[in-house]
Amino acid sequence: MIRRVWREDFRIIGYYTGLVTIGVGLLMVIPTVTSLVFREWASALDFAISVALTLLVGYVLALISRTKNTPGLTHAMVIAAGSWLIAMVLSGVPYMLSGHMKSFLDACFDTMSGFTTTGLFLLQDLDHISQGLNMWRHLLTYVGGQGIVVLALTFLIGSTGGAFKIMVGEGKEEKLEPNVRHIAVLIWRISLIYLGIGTVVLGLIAMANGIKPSLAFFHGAYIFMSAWSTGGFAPYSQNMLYYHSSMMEIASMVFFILGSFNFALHYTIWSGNRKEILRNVEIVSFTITVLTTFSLVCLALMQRGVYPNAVALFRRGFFQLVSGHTTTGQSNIYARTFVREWGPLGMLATTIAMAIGASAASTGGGFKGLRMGIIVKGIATDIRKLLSPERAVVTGHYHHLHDNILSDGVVKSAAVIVVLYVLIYVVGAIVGTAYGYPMVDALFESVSAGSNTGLSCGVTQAGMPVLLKIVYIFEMWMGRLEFLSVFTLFGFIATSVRSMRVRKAAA
Amino acid sequence: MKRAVSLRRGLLGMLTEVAFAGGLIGVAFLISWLFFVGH
Repeated sequence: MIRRVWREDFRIIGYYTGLVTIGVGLLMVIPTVTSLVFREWASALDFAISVALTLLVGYVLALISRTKNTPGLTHAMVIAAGSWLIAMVLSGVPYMLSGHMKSFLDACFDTMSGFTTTGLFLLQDLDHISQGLNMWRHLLTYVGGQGIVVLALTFLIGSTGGAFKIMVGEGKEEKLEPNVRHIAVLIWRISLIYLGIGTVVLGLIAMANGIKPSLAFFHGAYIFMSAWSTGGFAPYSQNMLYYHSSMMEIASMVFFILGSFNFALHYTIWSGNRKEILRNVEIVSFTITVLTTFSLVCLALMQRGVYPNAVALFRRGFFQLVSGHTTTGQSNIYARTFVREWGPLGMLATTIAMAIGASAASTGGGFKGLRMGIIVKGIATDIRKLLSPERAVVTGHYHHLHDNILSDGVVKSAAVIVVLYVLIYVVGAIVGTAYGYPMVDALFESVSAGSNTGLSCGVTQAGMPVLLKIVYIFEMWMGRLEFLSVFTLFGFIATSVRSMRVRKAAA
Repeated sequence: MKRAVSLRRGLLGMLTEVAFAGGLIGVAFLISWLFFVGH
């Protein structure tokens, strides 16, 4: 039986959602300063208005629902799912004020794409937007990759009993340390160390490619934030193709492969257990699926004779494939090249790679290598059971940070989430096909949205049907939060409406 | 001393991760070369 909803439940949810909103408002100060540095006065004003509005909404929400009670699991799930929706709307304000969006729905599409590290965008005339807005786009993906709730936990919430539950609601269920604030700080420490290294490395490559020094390190920071958070945005509409630099592509590829790793794995390796990288079920699963799907891409591209030599085949084929598999979405080919040159087999192999995606508790999306590994091990264990004598006890194991017993419950949980992902992929593909897009294109784009990848074969553009934009927004949101917190939010709303009706009837 | 050990472990960990990514990229290059030669 589902419990009733009381006023205190709204207070707890409102208070913590308000704190996360204040966190988003404070984050907007960074693009404001960037605009001031580049003397983009109009853009600075857009951001100043957005900062004021977001802080006001967050402060009022936290003030009217002020409470000392800590969130339970239901509250935490609702806070995680609800915060992302509020952040999407408020973060869209500077986009809308910039005059580069056709509608507020398009602005919400872009901010949801940013926060969920997807990388699809509807922004118009990307090559001429302000540095402030470019900073905001990349900051959204960087913070979204770590989790906006993780950000709020680090700076605003502190070590409350319910804080870890909010993090679980945001899809970061690994408990690296007993203290939840320490987990948030650890995640940020790893990301910030790599941010420093990545900005310098990519900035130097940009400078070597002729970009003036004052801009080169901004480009370095943008490309790093996009790669590490497996986001896929780039400062120019041609994405990585703009740089025409194999060094830039390889450096970015290294960073998005590392960004797709589980934060718990980073922590374990950085703590001295370096052999874990070769034993971890997620990494083993990732390596096998990357190399298998890349072989399929090679087969497709060789059949069609697309590239004249092995270097071109590797440079375009592997970059695109691994960008898809890590759910990054950076691209060194044009969107329509998938349809015109790669063909159905190449697109299908990339679609499978995107659907599987990155590691659990990472910045990436998809149904994750951990679940893929668990399901494959589950199938292998079942086959071993069938081949063993009836009295034999057959137990499966998998290695993730330590040896774990493969129980039926673990396999079932993994399978349920995979089925839910497949369901949203199929729904998006059906809607796209119903609007007249070829089925392969519709499936590719739907999987790209649902797995938070951001590779596009040309379906996503400002002129696409409104319903398809809404479906993709839902896919990005549900895919990023891994369903449970979104379902809890829907359940909470339904229970609240029913509780109100019961109270009215009683009165 | 403890901080130095922690820094060394972190640095070696980071190098291990980068080496893994580099190795994966190297194997992928080998696969594309083999496909091209095989064709």
